[in-house]
Amino acid sequence: MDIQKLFAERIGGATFGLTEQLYKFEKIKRAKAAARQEHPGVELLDFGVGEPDQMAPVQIRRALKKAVDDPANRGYADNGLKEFKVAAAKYLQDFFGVTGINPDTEINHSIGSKPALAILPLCFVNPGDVALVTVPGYPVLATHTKYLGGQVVKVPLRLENGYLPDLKSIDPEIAKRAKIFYVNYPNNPTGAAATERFFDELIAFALENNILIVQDAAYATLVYREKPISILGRPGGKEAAVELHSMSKSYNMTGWRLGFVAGSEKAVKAYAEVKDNVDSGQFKAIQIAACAGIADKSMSDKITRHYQGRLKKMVKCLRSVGFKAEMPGGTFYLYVPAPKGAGGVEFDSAEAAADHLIRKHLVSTVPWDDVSPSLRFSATFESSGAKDDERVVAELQARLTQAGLRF
Amino acid sequence: MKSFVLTGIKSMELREVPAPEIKSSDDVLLKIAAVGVCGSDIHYYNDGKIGSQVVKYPFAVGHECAGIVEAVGSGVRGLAPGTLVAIEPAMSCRQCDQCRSGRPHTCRRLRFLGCPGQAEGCLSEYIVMPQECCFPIKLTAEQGALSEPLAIGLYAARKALPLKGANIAILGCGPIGLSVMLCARVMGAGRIFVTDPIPERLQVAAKNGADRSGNPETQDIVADIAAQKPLLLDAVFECCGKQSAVDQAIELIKPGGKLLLVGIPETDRVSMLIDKTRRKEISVLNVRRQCECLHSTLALMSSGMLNADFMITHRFRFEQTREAFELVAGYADGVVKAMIDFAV
Repeated sequence: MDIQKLFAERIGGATFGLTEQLYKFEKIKRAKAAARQEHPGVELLDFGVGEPDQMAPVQIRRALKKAVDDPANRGYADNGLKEFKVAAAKYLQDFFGVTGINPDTEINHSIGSKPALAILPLCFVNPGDVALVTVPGYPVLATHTKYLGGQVVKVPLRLENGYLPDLKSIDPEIAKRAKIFYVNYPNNPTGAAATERFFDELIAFALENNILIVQDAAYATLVYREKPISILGRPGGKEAAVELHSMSKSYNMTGWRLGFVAGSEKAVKAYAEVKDNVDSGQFKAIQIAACAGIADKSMSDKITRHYQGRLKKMVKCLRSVGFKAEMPGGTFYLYVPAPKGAGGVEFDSAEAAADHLIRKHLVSTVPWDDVSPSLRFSATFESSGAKDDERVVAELQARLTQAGLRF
Repeated sequence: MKSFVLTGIKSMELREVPAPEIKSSDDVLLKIAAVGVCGSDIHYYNDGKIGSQVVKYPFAVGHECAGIVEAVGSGVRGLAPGTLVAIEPAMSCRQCDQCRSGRPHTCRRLRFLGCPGQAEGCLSEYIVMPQECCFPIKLTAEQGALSEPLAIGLYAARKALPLKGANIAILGCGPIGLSVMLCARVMGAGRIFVTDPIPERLQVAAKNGADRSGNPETQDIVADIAAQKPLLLDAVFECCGKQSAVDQAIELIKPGGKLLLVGIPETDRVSMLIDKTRRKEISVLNVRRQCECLHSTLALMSSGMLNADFMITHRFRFEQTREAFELVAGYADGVVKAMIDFAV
């Protein structure tokens, strides 16, 4: 038996596991471990975490406990519960003003957004087909597009364009060939929120070129300047897009794994078809518990306020040490141009800056070098409460000041 | 029953022959309703052979057809007498290595309707086919017959994927070239160039989906297309079986592009300018009829996404089959698809 000769080319074929390539998050993990070992007893300020610091609201947890004991919920959920679909449609209406969504045909649940992003390329990508994806960004749809032999064309998000893709810069020949366009607003990592005008332009672009928009709305309720918006609420949105909603960030339910895909009936049908051959649905009790959450806006509002308060403190702190920090439009991320050096050290990349901050100052961030070197500070840092938030941010300020950052 | 049989080169007669009978439990006796005249039928009519397939006279050709179920074997389910079906002319063994690897169209023991030495064709009042070759339709009999060449178009287009936004050329726009064109359009092709020496066919193509057409006998189609698309084309479908078209295709395909050989060559050998073919790393793909595309073709036709009715330019009664063959053999009167209607 020689398993090494059996691997598919999409993961490296016979070379799988033989190369020593370390990915970004593994490098961060190793740097954290090394810093902890070198500085025992010193608190590591972890601004790199991409998941909520709090538990899901108590009402949701109570609903889960009750649903777990209901024998009706024991079996396969397959393509989802009607109750959750109806609740999801109502959520789109109450939170985002989206009307006219048919819960039976235009919504299907997902075991979190990640598998939905893996399933959608299976629905649309033939070998050689083009997927447009914004960068920097969440790579799952692009990874699966490549797995399927598709071509990933990166569309950069730049500060000067408000971290929205410049649709005019996309080669018309590429646009004609593209089948799906992955966008994510509110955006990870830039924190940019979409505007209605941008969604309208994106829909027009998609309709002109016959491209399905995959709008990853994992942070949909976490917006700070304007009211939350959905691409499905814009004219033509339901025709041109599917939107992926998630319970993870809006309701602190990351580990619960629940979301839904909504929009274009044909696309949702294809998603359901493939999904049915990938998984057997999320545990019904979790879907029922989530219904309790998405029916109550006050819960997500409370979570939004939590991050908003923290982000404001972080903006002030980062500005004071030289970062060009602005309050983001949404998400729980603060995305800033990376420093060029610290003390006598020069950074040739955001990754080098992040590595330095972890190893020397025990401050963890996530670096992004895709478009321009930037660091992502996340407002999901650990603390023991609101007062302790002040202490953690003050400690961050002290350490960054001591670092002597140069920009 | 009556059957139109080839009796020699460019010779065919209407003869009385024994009617076929149900012999196997999965057999279906069909009353033929419509037959399309295919270019390959004309090869047998004109030359008595296609490559190694040589006609032993008398022999009935014809394979593009639709029929009405007359009677069924004891094992047939879900096919009631009176049902109109499109017919898959390829009868594969379902047992050999090819069939088991999803390639029934290159079955080692293939029997193809109207193919010498394999099975008598459908230019007869009745034929018997296995149930798996009978596809109930809610289309017309003519559309059922058209589904066969359209399935070849779909198969060729599928082999050329990705097609969305792809710039392609179809060299030769007879029924097969037009079928490729329609299917490539359904699959999102960008600019579609077509060429043919027959002006009427170019007009039909231009009216039904081609972006630009050209006559290779009166203009430099390579220069014309290259002027339109300087980076050249993603795929070229050779649909006429001519050496000159293969040569044009090699010039027209961009590096990394695909050449699909769909047409049946008039000669035993075809050559390629290897220097260009190799340097551009052109993928040369032969398209052998079609593989399991009939069901999808019928679904596209039923949905309205694929409408090829315009291809039927001439209609004949069964008794007029010879006239139909003469018309198609002579490329006369702007013929695209000659259809023989049995019910008329």
